[in-house]
Amino acid sequence: MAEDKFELTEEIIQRYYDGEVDSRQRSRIEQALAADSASEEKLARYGRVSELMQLVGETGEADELTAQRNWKKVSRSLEETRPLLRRPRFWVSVAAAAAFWLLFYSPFGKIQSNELVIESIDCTYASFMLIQPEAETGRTIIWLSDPGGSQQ
Amino acid sequence: MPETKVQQPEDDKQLVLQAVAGSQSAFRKLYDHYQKKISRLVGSMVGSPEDANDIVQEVFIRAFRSLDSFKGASSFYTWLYRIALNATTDFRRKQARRFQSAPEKPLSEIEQGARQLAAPVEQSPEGELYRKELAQLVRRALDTLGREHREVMVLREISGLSYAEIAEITGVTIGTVMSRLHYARKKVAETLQRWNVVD
Repeated sequence: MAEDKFELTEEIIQRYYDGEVDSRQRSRIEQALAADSASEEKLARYGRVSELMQLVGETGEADELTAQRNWKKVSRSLEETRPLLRRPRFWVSVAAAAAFWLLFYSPFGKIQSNELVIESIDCTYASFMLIQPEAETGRTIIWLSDPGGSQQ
Repeated sequence: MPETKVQQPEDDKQLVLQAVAGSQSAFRKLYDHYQKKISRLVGSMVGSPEDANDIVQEVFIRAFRSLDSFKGASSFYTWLYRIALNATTDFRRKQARRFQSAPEKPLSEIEQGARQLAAPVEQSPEGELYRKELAQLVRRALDTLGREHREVMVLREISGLSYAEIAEITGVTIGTVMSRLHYARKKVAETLQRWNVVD
């Protein structure tokens, strides 16, 4: 029967070695290998080369310390290429600037010191306006003059 | 047999999405998961550990910058491996240009070194040195291969990937992967035999 005829080709040996065969094929290959010393030798050679290749992999692998150092360099580079608005450092700077402004220049500071904040004054008909500096009473007087008289 | 098959965490895609949205901590998780595998891959194709580190950094920087273009049609790690192979190829090309006129170490010297190395591996500083020098020698044997054969050999033997995964990364059919792998193994074995590293 044709199905019983099974030849161990290089390709089949390689696929078997690499675990790229199904369980049915595997058992047939193992039977054939047991009866063929030349093929077994080929398989053993694959094993020797693999062992040496593993040695290359082991010596090439970075240790923990190197991995940490590599990450630091990677993250620094990522930080530099990020858009400005996505950088945490940018927002820290903005927050620091805002805190500084609130502390020294904000309107809240002025309100707390009892100063009057005037948003707008309509003096279309006024010929002149006089603002008297804050008195000891803590009140500020504003004088407006128009043709009809003066008003406070 | 090589058994270091890549296990992809279920949440790779989630982490990629978060990293695209700007989360560096998500990208850090991806780095932690893959840096060892990438450093093994790169380190096996580049002799100097310093150069290998530079390339590993470059791989992750390139990956982060092009995360937008990662469509998720393939696995994240196969995409990352492709970037690693490209970065290594770029490096080797630049290095070849830079050292074009530098004399190669004579083959007789390599063979002489190999004969001296043909000693049993011991658990000692000498044994460790022996392993390192042996690894250098095998790397030299790998260097005798062309890029396509070297890549397939390393992806199978060092990274332990399946034929299908290698085919996806290198953009060729499984049949081509098998024939390249067969040729590469044969050539490396012959070279190492010539240098008396294997019988």
